[in-house]
Amino acid sequence: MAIAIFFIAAAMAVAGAVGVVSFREPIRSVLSLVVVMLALAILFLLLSAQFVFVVQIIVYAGAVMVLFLFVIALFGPSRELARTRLRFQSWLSGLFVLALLGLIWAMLQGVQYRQPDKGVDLSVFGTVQAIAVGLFTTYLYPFELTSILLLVAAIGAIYLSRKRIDDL
Amino acid sequence: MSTSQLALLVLLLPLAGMVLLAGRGWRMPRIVTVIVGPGVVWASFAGTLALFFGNAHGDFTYWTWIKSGSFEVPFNLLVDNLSIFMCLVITGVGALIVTYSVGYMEHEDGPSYARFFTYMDVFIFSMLLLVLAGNFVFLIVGWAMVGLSSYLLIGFWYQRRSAVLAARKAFVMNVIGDVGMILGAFVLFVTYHSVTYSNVFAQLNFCNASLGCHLNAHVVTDSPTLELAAFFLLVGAIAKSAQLPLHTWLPDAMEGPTPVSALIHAATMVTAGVYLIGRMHPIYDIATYAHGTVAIIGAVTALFAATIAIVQTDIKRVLAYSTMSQIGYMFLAVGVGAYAAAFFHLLAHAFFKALLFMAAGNVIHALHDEQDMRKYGGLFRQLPRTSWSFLIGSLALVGVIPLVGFFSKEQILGAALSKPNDSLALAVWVVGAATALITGFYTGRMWWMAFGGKPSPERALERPHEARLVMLVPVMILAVLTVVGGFIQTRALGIGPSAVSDFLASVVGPVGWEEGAGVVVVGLLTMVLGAVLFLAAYRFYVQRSWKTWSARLPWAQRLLERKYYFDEIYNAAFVRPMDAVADLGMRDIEEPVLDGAVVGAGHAAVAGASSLSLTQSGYFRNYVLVFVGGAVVAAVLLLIRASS
Amino acid sequence: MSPLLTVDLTYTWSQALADLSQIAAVATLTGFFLFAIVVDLVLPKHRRGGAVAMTAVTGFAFALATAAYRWVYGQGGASAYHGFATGDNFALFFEILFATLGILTVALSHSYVRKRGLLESEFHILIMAAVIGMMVLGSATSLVTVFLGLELLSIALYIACGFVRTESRSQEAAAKYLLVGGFASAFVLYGMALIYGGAGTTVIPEIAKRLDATSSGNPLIILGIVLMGVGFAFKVSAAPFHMWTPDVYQGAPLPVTAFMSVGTKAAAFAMIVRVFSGGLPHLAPEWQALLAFVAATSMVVGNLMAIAQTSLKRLLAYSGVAQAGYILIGVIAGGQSGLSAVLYYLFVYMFMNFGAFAVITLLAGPEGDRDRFSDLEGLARRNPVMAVLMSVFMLSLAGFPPSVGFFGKLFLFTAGVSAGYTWLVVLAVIMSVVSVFYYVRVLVPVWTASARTDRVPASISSQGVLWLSGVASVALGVYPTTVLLLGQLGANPISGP
Repeated sequence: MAIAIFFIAAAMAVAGAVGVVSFREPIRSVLSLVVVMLALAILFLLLSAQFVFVVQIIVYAGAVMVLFLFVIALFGPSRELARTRLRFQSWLSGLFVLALLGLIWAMLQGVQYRQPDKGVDLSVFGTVQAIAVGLFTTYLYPFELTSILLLVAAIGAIYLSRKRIDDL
Repeated sequence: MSTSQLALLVLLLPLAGMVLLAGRGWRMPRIVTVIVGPGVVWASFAGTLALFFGNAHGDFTYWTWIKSGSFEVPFNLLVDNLSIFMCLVITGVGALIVTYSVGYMEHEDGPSYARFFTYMDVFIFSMLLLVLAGNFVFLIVGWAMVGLSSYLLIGFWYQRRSAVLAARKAFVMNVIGDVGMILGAFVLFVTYHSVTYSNVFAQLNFCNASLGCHLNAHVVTDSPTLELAAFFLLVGAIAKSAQLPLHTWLPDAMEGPTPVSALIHAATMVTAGVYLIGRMHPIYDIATYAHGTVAIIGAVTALFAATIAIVQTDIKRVLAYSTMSQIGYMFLAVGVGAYAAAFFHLLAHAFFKALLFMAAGNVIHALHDEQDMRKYGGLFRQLPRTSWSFLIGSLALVGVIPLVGFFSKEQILGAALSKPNDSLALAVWVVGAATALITGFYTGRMWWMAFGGKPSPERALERPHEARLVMLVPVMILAVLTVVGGFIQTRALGIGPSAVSDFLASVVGPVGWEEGAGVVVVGLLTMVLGAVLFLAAYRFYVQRSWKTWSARLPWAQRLLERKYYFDEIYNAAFVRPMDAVADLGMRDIEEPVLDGAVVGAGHAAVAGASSLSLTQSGYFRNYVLVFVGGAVVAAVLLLIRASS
Repeated sequence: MSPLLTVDLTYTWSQALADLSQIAAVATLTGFFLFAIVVDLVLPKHRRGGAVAMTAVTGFAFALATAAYRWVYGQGGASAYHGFATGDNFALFFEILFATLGILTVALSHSYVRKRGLLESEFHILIMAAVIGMMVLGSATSLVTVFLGLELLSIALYIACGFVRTESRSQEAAAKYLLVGGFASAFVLYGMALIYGGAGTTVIPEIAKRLDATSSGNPLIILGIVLMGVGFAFKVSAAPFHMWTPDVYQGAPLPVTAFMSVGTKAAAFAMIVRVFSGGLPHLAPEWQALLAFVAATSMVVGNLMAIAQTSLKRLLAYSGVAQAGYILIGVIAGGQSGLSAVLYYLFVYMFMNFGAFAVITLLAGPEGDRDRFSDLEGLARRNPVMAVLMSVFMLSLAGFPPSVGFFGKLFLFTAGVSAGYTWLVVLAVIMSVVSVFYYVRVLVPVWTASARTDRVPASISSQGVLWLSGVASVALGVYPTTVLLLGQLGANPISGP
C-alpha cells in the first residue's frame, strides 16, 4: 500500500515538474508547481515526517504559491514567445536528458541501499518537539546558517525590487 | 671585487639600463637615453673583459630560490670559458650595434627612441642570462625572455601590419621551441632529480680535457631517455636558430629596424641554439641519434637557405637567408663534434654579419628606407666607406683568405671531411662544400647588384650621403675585426695559433681527431671556386652578358622565390585549420551568446520588463545543454571505469 | 503536556565556547555583518556608504586576525557543533585568504561604486555575506554545511552580479547566473543525497570511515560522485560546465567580477578538497578520473577560447577556466604535495587575478565598465604604475618566472608528475605556453604609444590594492617557500603530514 502511494505521489511530482517548464502560460506553470508541492508533502508523510508535511502544505502550497499567483496576476497573464531558432537543440537536449536518465537508471541497478537505522521511535520521529530538539541541539549550526541565508536573500530581494535607486 | 660579484654585475647592468629607460625614459632629455642605452652594454663588456683577463671561472650560487623537499632551484651563474666567450660576443658586438642605433634610430620621436633602447637592453640582458645561467630553470627563463624581447623588437614599428605579423610569427615559432626546451629540461629533471648543469652532467658520461672521460655505468644504459631529452632540447635550438623546419620567422623578422636585424641575426639570438648544443655536449655526446640529427639539420639548412638567397631582391632578406645558412654551418659543426670550430665560426659570423647588416643599414638609411637591391646600383663610388666595409663583409662571407670567414668556415669543413670512419660527416661535408660555392654566387649577386654597375633609374635620390660618424665608426671597427680576426686561429691552414679552440678546450674538449694535410688543399680549392663564382655573378647581373639561369629554369626560379613553399604548407597545415577552429568557436559558441545578450538588451530597453524575460530570449538553454552533455560524458566515463 | 521525548538539553558554557572558538572567524564576521546592517539603517543617507565600508573592512580585519591568532596559538582543529564545522588549519588558511580578499574587494569597490552612482552600503553588505559563505565552506565538515555555505555564497553573488539595476547586461548576468547556478546546486544536492544514502551520515570524516574501497562497486556512490563532481566543476568554472563564466564575468560590475573570479574559485576548491580528498579518500580513482577529464577539457577549452576574445573580462574569464584546469591537477595528485600546491596557487592566484581585474576596474567610467583592448591603449603613459603592475599580473598569470604564477604551476605540475599524471601535465605545459600568447597580447596596447593622453585616476585605496597585489605577486615568487609552507600546514588536516 505504502509503495503504491509512493509511486502515485512520485509520478504526480514528476508530472507537475514537467508541467512547470512546459506550459507557456505562467499561471499554469504555477499551478503545476502546486501539484509538485502537494505530491512532495505526501512523500514526507510517508516518511513519518508529519510536521514537515504540514509545513509543506501550509507554507509552500499555501502561502508561497499564493504570492506567486499574485505576482503573475499583477503582471498580467502574458504568454511566453516561442523561439524556433534553436530547433536542433531541443532534439539534442532531449537526447542528452534521455542519456543521462538512462545512465542513472543503469547505475542504480544493483545498488546497495543502506538499511534503516535501528531503534528509531516512530511515535516521536517527525513531531514538532523532535524537530525542535534537533534544530537547537544537533543542527544548531546549520539552522543559524540558514537564518543568515534567508536574511541575505531578503536583503537581495529588497534591493532588486526597488524601482528607483533613491528609494529606501 | 670578487669574480662572483663581477659576473652578477655583467648580467645586471643591462637590466639596470632597461629599468632606468623604461621608467622615466621619455621624460628625460634624449641625451640620457643616448648615454644610458649603449653605456650599460659597454660597461657590461668591460666587466666581461675583466672576467676574461682575470681568467675567471666558477659556479656561483647567489641564493637558493626554491627549496621544497628534494626539489631545489638555486640562482647560480656558471662562469667558464664558454660563457665568457659568449658574453664577449654578446656584449662586444652588441655594444657596437647599440651604439650604431643611436644614429640609425634618430628619426624616432622621444618615447619611441627610449622604448627602442629599453628593448635593446632587455634583449642583451636576456641573452646574458641565457648564457650565464647555471641551471635549466634560468636557462629557460633567459630563453623565453629572448623570444619575448625579440618579439618586441621585431614588432617595434607596430604601426606596420607586416611588422606585427612578423613579430607574431617569430613569437609563435619561438614558443614552439620553448615548449621543446621545457619538456627537455623536464625529462632531465625527472631522470636526474636536479636542475643544475653541474649535477646533471656529473651523472653523465662526462668527457673533459683536464679530467678525461669518466664513465657512469647506469647512464649508458639510460640513453633512450637522453635521446628524448636531446631531441626536445634540439627543438628549442632549431626554433631559436631558425633552422629547418622552424625557420620561417627569420626572413620575416627583417621587418624590424636594421640594428635589430644585426643584433638578432649576427651577434646573439640565432646563435643561442649553437650555444645550447655546445653547452649540452655531454648529453649529445651520448645521444648519438640526436647528435647526428643536429648535423643533418645544419647541413640541409645551410644548402636550403643558400639556394633561396639567390633569388631574393630585398637586401636584408638576402642577409637573413645567408644567416640561416651560416648558422647551418655551425649546427653542422656541433653535429659532427667540432664544437670549438662552431664557436669560432660563431665569433667570425658575429663580426662579418653585424658588419654586413650595419653597412646595409647605412645604405638603407641613405636611400630613404629602400631595401630593394634592384633599385640600388652604382653605390660603390657614392658611398665609398660603406661600400668598402660591405665588400670586406661579403668576401668574409664567401670565405676569402685571409678574412676571418675563411678560417672559420674552412675549419668546420676540414673537421667534417677529416673525421675518420664517419660517413655522416663526409656527407655533410659534401653539402657544406656545395653550399660554400652557392654562397660565393649569391654574395656576388648581392654585391654587384647593389654596389656595382650604374645607378638604377628607379633610385629614390641621385646622390645619397654617407652615414653619420656614429653609424660609420662601429661599421669600420667591425671591418677591421673581420680582416684581422682570422689570425687568432689559423688552424684551417694547418699552421699558426688556435686561440679559440685552446680557450674553449676546457669546456667542450679538443676535436677528437687529426686533420690531414689534404684537407688544406681541398679548403683552398673550395675558396677559389667560391671566389670565382663571386666574380661570375658580375657577368650575370651587371654585364648581363650571359643569359641568366632563371630565364632558362623558370620553375626553379619560382620554387626558390616561393621559398620552397614552406609558408604555404604551414598555412595550409596549421594556420588555416586553427583559424577554422577558432572561427567555429566564435561563430557557434561566442556569437550566439553575444547576440543573445545584445538582443536581450534590446528587449529590455523596449519592454522594461522584469529581468527574467531577458534570459528567455538569451541562450541560457545553451549552457544547460552543454552542462548536461558534460554530465553525460562524465557519467559514461565513470561507468566504463566501474565496469572494466 | 508530558514530553514524548526525553533528551538532554544541557549545553554548557564551556562547550559553547569551545564550539564557537572553532568557527571564530565566521562568527566574528557575522557579527560585523549584522552590525553593518544596523549601521546602514540608523545613519543618515550620505554617511552610510563610508561607515559600512569601514565596518566591512574592520570586520574582515578582525576575522583575519582571529584566524591568524588561532593559526599561531590555536590548539588545532576539533570537531564543533556535532561535526558540522571545524577550525583546523585548512579552514584557517581559507579564512585568512577570504578575509584578505574581502579587504581587497571593499578597498577596490569604494571609489568604483561612487563613480558609478550605486548604493554603497548594500554592496559591501553583500560582499560580507558572500565572504561568510566562503568561510563556512572552508570550515565545513558536513555535507549540510557545505551546501549551506555554497548557497549563502551563491545567493549573495547572484544579487551582486545584478547590482547595476540600470544596466541590462548586469541584470542578464544575474539572471543567467541564478538559473545555471540553481541547476548546478540541484546536481550537488542530488549527489549529496546519494552519498548520504550510501553512507548514512553527512559528516565528512564519518563518510571517509564508512565508505571504504569496496564502495566503488556501489553505483549509488559512483553516481553521487558524478553528480557532485559536475556541480563542483560548475562552481570552479571548469569546462564543459564553464559556459556561464564569460557572460557573468562580463555582465557583473567589475569589483564583483574580480571578487568572484578569485573567491568563488577558491571556495569551490576548498569544497572539492573537503568532500573528495577528505571525505572519499578510498574512492579516489573514481573522482580522480572525473576530475582529470574536467581538468583536461578546461585547459584546452579555456586557453583556446581565450585567444579569440576581444573583451578583457571575457579573456580573463576564459583564463580562469584554464587556471581551474591547472589547479585541478593538484587536487587529482592529492597528498601533501598536491594539496599544498593547490593552496599555494589559490593564495597567489588571489593577488595576480584580483590585481588584473583591479587595473581594469580603474579604467571604468561613470557610464560603465571599459574592457576593450583599446581601453588599455597608451596606459604606460596614462598611468605608468598601473602599466607596470598590469604587466606583472599578466606575466604572472602566464607563469613567467620569477612570478608567483610560475611557482604555482611548478608546484602543481611537479605534484601531478609524481602522482603519475604525466599526460595531464604535458597537456598543461603545452596549453600554458599557448596561454602566453593571449596574456602578452593584453600588454601590447599597454606599452605601445597612443594618442590617448587622458590620465587614469586611482583613489588611495585602489592604489593600495594594486600595490599589495603587485608586490605580493613578485615577492611571493622570490620567496615562494613561505606561503608553500603555510600551504603544507593548511593541507595537513586533509592529507596528513
